[in-house]
Amino acid sequence: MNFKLSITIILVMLGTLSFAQQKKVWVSGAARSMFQQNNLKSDGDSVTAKKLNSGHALVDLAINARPNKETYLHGMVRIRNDFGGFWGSGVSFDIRQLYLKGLVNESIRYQLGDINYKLTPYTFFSQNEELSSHQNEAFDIYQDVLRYDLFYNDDNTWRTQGATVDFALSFPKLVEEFEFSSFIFRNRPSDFAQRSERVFFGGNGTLFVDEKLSLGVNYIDLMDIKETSKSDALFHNPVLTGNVNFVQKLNETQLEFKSESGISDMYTLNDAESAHVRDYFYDLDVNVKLPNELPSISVNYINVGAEFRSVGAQTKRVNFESQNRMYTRYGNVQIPRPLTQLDLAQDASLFQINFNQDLDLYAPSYDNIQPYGKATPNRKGITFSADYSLPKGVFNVELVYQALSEVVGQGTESKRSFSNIKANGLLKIDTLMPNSHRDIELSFGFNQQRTERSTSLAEGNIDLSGTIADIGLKVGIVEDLNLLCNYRMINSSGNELVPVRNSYSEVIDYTPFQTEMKQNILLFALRYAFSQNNHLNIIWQNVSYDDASNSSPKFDISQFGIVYSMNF
Amino acid sequence: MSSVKNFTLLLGALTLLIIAGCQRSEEPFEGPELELIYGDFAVLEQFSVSQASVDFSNDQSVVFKARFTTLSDWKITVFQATTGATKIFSGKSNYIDRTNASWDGTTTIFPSFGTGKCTATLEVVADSSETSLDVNIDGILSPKGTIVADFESGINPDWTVFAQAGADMTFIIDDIDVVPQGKKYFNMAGAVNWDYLIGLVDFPSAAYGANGFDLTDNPDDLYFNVVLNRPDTLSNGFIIFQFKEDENGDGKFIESSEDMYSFEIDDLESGWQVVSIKYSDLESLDNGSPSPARGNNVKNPDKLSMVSCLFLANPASGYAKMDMDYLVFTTSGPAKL
Repeated sequence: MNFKLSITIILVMLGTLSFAQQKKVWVSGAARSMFQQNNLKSDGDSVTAKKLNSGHALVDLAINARPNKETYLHGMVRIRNDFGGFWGSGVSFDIRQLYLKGLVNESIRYQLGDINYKLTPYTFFSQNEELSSHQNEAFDIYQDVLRYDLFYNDDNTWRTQGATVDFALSFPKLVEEFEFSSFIFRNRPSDFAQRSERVFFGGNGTLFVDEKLSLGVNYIDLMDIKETSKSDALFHNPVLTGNVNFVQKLNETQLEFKSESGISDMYTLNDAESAHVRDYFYDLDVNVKLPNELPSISVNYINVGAEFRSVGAQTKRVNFESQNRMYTRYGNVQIPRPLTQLDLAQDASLFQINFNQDLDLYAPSYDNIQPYGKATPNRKGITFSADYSLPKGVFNVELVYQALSEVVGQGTESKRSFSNIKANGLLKIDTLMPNSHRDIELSFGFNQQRTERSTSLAEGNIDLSGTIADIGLKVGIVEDLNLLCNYRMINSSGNELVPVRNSYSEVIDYTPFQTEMKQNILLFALRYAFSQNNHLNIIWQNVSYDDASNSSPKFDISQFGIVYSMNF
Repeated sequence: MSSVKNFTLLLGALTLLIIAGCQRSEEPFEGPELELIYGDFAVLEQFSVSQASVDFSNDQSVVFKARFTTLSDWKITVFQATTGATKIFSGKSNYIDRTNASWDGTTTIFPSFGTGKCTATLEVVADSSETSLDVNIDGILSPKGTIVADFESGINPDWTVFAQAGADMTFIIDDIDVVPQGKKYFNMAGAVNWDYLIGLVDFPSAAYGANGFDLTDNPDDLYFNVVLNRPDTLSNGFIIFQFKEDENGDGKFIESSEDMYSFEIDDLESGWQVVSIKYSDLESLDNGSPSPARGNNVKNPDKLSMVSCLFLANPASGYAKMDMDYLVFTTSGPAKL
């Protein structure tokens, strides 16, 4: 505590010196204050405390230093005070991030410390969390807070610790440029007993032949280092992929062909029981951008083997084995409360930031089609998508249709078939009213998934469908003050046999899953923008949950909240 | 430039072809077959035993067999009425054979088996059936290994037994109720409200003659075993075994400059049970956390000068009790009892 406090004081002192240092040292950061009042309603529940209040204020204070033009340092501390923790008892000091980056000889970039990094959706990629895809600004209020705390970014990078090196070489003829990026991250430390030190390393080399054609190679390996613990077992998960990108213009039409294909291995040396899992995938994508404000159309075909394993791409953000913190148990027999949209948007304890060598559990009600993103093993099929925008951003709509199936069946030669329809749209009505200075926007989202399988055994038949629909309205009351209204419905019904895997990710059993879930969430918010990076939000929302297929009593949670956030 | 393009396109196409040509598993599906899980249950092969009588003293073993159409939870209980000894096998499979039900004479619930008749009963959850058959034991399992203590001949005068001056202290040899091996065991019990340590027993190598414990120098092929009993109602006691090496051969262990490795046992089920650890898996601990040993930091069982057994409990937790029997070093695997 004293050490952290000392660092904070030093950082603040350094910050005050920034004016004298001609901007060689400067302060940046973010501040936030939140307060929530929650009310649980569950018929007949006389045990659970119904009303929960919580709140906190925090400041992320960063010192940025540029001692010379090739070097940049960044250190950020977090000071957090939970409401009710007076006189320091509820105060915590944490070092949030530290990194150094620079340029060697004006050609090689490097970074050390905390790093956001990604490669491709099959190698190193942080897949978006469930229920996070929408165009409703109101749903983003809490989601943005959560993502900021967990270092989840829209660019799907993972936050890791280690080192990266990047450089590019230009050529006068034959090819234009060669770009190279490599990384090595410490994935976990040794416990000096049975858990060895684990590192994640690899990189990408891309050859840009010209402005139309590029070829890339990606290699990653998550591996244990020998003799860092008493265990002889050494886990390895190398993945090698190649990608091609080709763009061609035909008159006013732009054609783009993208592909990625590769192989993966997963094994544990010196472990006689370890399975050696090896498979391949390929992903072909054709995109056509039509002229004259016509929609752009994409067709994609994937084939990802059942034994394709890539921990850096298949680790999920949400850990569905964890339990929500708010109203963890409820009902008179205090059973665990099921997760809702509210929890997934607010509860940081449900998420993970480290890789998991097992294939994580997933929630079939929320996503049964590609729970591990594009790298979901045992999927093949075609995806059609179209994107259409009117000029000046008046209207934008995105349509997606997927028809996928398994590559091999699970427990039977009959394969599951999957269909998925998505539609998202945003209508900016205010752009049609030139004299209006207030926002008026209407948004909608729709997603319907279906999974089916027929077998000779009734217990092996699968019929699971899920629908997520939301609609949102944003109305400017006065300048900088908006009223946000959103409604989302999540329904899931049917059955599934969820595979149970051993520690080598082999399927060893199936868990019957039955659902008749209905979830509704209604949200009203007032958002005042002091500036682009400074908002005050007053939010009321209500989520109701009911699943007639199991013994979980239905419940609803009302929440009133105030969220103030600022970046500086 | 066009030749470069053609070359790179060809390279890309070749890459795709090579990858597409990679072999996949030829299994028609992944995971266990649904028929095995959800099909109709029937017995394909009745419960049987490989031999009606067995001599475990001659390294013989008995294999139980059965086969079913679907995966089912099953349990085989071998019970000997004359001794009360019990051996239990259990699993979830559609077969019972050498891989999951081979009996070498060991015991799950002590006391140990004696010679005479045993009854093996198979319970299958899928059809709620019970089938029994008899097995006769002609010769019992003979424990092998280097015995540190079996308490049959009392306390060796070269051992050191220390008990704190607490309440209800008992550090004695006992023979009450179940005895897992032989006829006696060591009873440790008491309440010490000022210290974790309730008592200890030191087993110095000098107590075993000129060659001491006379153990192998290979820590990967040596196992330490002990039989412990935690009472049903008391779970607060725990045990630490310490293994002290005399690396310089001066006949004594020097704590500041020689290796000491530990084995902490604090998560026991109730009842008698065999606890084993490979010597190479022992840890050097500093205040309970792994740390480098203070000597050469290499495990040298051939230089072991003392084994100490510390019986401990949280001083706030009150009376604690643990029984122990048959401390033995074995090679090639854990002790079979």
